[in-house]
Amino acid sequence: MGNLFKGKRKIAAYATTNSSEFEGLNWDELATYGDGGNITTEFNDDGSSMMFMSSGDGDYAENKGLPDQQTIGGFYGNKWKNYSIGNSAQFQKVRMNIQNNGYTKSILPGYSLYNTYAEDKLQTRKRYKMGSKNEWGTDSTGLFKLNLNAAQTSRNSNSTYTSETFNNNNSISSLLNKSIQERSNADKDNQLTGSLSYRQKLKKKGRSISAEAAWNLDDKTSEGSLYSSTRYGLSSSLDIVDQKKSGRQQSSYTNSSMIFTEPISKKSFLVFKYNLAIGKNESERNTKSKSGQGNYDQLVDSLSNHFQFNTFSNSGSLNFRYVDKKLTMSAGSGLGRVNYQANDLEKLTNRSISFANFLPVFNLVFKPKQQRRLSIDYNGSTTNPSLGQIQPLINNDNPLSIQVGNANLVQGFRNNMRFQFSDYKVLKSRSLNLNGGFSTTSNDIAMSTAVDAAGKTISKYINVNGVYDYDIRASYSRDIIKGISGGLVLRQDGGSNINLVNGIRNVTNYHSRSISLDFGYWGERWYSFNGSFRIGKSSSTSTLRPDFKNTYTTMSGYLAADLKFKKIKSYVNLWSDLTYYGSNDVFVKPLSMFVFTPTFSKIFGKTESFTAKLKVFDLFNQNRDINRNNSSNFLSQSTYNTLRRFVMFGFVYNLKNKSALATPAK
Amino acid sequence: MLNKIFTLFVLAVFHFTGFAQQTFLDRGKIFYERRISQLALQDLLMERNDGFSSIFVEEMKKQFPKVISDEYILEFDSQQSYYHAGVENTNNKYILTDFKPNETEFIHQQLDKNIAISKMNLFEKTYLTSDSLKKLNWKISGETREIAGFECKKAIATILDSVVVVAFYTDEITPSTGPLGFNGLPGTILGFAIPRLYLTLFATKVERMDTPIKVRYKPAEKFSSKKTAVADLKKVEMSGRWKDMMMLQIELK
Repeated sequence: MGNLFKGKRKIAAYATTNSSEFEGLNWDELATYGDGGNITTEFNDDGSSMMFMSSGDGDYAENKGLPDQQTIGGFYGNKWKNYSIGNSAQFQKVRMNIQNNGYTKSILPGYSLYNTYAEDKLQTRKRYKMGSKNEWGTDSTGLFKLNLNAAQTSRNSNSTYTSETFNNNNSISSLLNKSIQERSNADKDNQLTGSLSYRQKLKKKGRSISAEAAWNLDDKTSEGSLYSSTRYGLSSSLDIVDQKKSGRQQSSYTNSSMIFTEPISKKSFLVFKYNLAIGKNESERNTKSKSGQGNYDQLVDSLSNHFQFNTFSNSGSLNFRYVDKKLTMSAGSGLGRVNYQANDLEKLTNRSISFANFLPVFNLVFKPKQQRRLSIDYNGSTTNPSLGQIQPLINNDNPLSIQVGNANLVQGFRNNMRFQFSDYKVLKSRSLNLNGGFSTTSNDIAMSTAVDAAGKTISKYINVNGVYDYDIRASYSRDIIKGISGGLVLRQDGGSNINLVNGIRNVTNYHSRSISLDFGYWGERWYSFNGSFRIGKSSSTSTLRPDFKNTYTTMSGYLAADLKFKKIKSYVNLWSDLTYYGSNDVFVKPLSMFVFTPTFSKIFGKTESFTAKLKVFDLFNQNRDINRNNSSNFLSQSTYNTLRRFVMFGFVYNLKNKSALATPAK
Repeated sequence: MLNKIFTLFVLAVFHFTGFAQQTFLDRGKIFYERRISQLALQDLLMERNDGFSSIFVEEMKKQFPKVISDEYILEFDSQQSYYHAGVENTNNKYILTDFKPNETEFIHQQLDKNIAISKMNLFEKTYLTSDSLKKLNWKISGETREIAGFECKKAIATILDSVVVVAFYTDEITPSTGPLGFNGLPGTILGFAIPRLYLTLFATKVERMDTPIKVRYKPAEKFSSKKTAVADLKKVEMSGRWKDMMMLQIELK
């Protein structure tokens, strides 16, 4: 890695290869060697500030398993009086080895199903991307920002998926089905995104205008195959699915908005906003099965389609804002209309649905004193079903678990409430925090699942009423002895989910409760540390089987410590993380892991420009990526392979204060 | 209406001619403009300035004014002076809210009794302190400078062992007093600078005041000492640079 500053000009280039990260640059490096990513910074009048970060790539969700990646890239940026530019280019290749396994226990009327699965997947992703950020002007004369990004991503994946489903009836279990699936997929995605924005603060104090237009063009083609062989029960015959799939999806989406703020007095303002979003989407999917000759030339009608989806959304809002030293409040509402239009280009049918949107908001912040704050928030929002949920498309990626859309879905409405109280006394190092939230959704979108005797499930999207969730948290911390602070946190959260199982309405009430003890010392002594230990209980019950209690203990905690031996220029960082999930009838084995990572570093040289580092990640080799879900009658747990014990030696040589050259080696 | 404007005009003229004729002033009101280069000060306080932090600082430089300017007022007579914030500058946006003028704070120097009463806020606590007047070892240089129509002489001193402060005082205003609790020069301080804080304070206007000085506390109130505030701050765990800045803040209140 290297970068060069000359005045306001910055040139950076980097090449990285490693097998412990999914991205070539971390956030901090992105700021030094790249364009800094998409960061929005907000500064409030009370001296606090917030930074929002977002990744434009949107593929962090697929970052699972073990990575092996190479990245090369560069950045050029320059700044003149009222103009700045930043151009970046990057090529990245990542190979991911993903092993996922887990089980699901389905609590059904009178009996239950137990499904175990394992997936072994190899995925490679190659991505070329370029970006340009430009800025002209100032806030008072008008500030223009233009961002352009282009990316080409190709992915290749191959996976083997095996699963077994058993019927658990009165402790006698019998095999219902056993399946092996081989899936492969290759896709290529061309994407062009950009935004142009304008902001100006007008002469009258508090009057401002801003406008933004953003667009996203995407063209994705994919080719894939599915081979699945399933044996039901003790039957001697196999149910084979052998298909080739191809698809193309082209979409364009634009979103424009305009905001105008007008002061009506020194302390109150009106904020007008108008938003227009237009989306066009054409999707074609063809599934072909083998004909008698052995070629894949028979089109499977139920799994092939060609659609055009258009969305058109239009909304305006008016908000009143009042800003005073101790009290800030805002209230208002947005009104809008969204229209979905779907044209089936194969069956030549058209469908059009419109929803009216209503979005009330209320917010109040009261600061009676310095470092004491109370806030109350309410917002209501309409939730519209997505096109995928409305269109009766069938997805058979897993032939044992099929999902079907529902054309009769209606719009839902979500009410959200939150309160927050905090009181901080700096001199006494005492802090008190209370916060909580509650939300309910009417006509929420849920699943209606039909499970047949062979253990096959078909899920359909439906509307349900009575869904809610809540959370509440109280914490207190204070100085205990000589700058060491101690704290106590009590938490409770939970809610109610509703779904339909074989036509029977099922209400799942879930909640968890925990208590944690925190401690820490951040002072200027030769050591600093902080840690937390939390113990709690998680439970859920389903009306389908009220006799079935699902409760388990959870524990988590961490301890981090820094030791500074300034005289010998040596530093030690110790980091450890504890996770424990208890066992019960469903989750028969408890899961526990303790990840301990020590790092030693020493600085050499008169100018302190040379640093040697030794890091042992997960010394006890216990790291796992675990997920447990108990918020419905389908109780599941999954485990992904993830990075475990490794040793890293690092040498960092800083040529100068602001230019760096690093060669991490593994 | 026209009459009123005319009276004001006459009054203004009277004031100016008043100063020109009178060589020595022992009672009046001084308006100061305090300027702080807050971006430069913030840079100094940042522990690190690379990678992520540099983006933060860049963004801050765009959204905050480089310099914040505020009004402070010193009312004085031969026995006492009363220093407090003036009219709020609503256009200001402060990076460090500690530098936002607080209308409840004041410094009341009782020159004849060698006492300074001060009301100050430190985080969640408010202190009403009574201490003896600052005693500094001023070194008067020959340099002069005109501030608000008065000829001022330059003097230099050190506070808190190492912080250099520069004062411009005039002997045409006789009380030995000044802003921020400073005093001890043969005249009143009209200009003041603390290079460490990127702070300057210059008089913009001097007015005659015939009404007696009104203080905003009762003599029977309970007083603590600045030493209490210093001790309280010492107990708080925070980075060295911040603590030094806060110590300096207490010294100036």
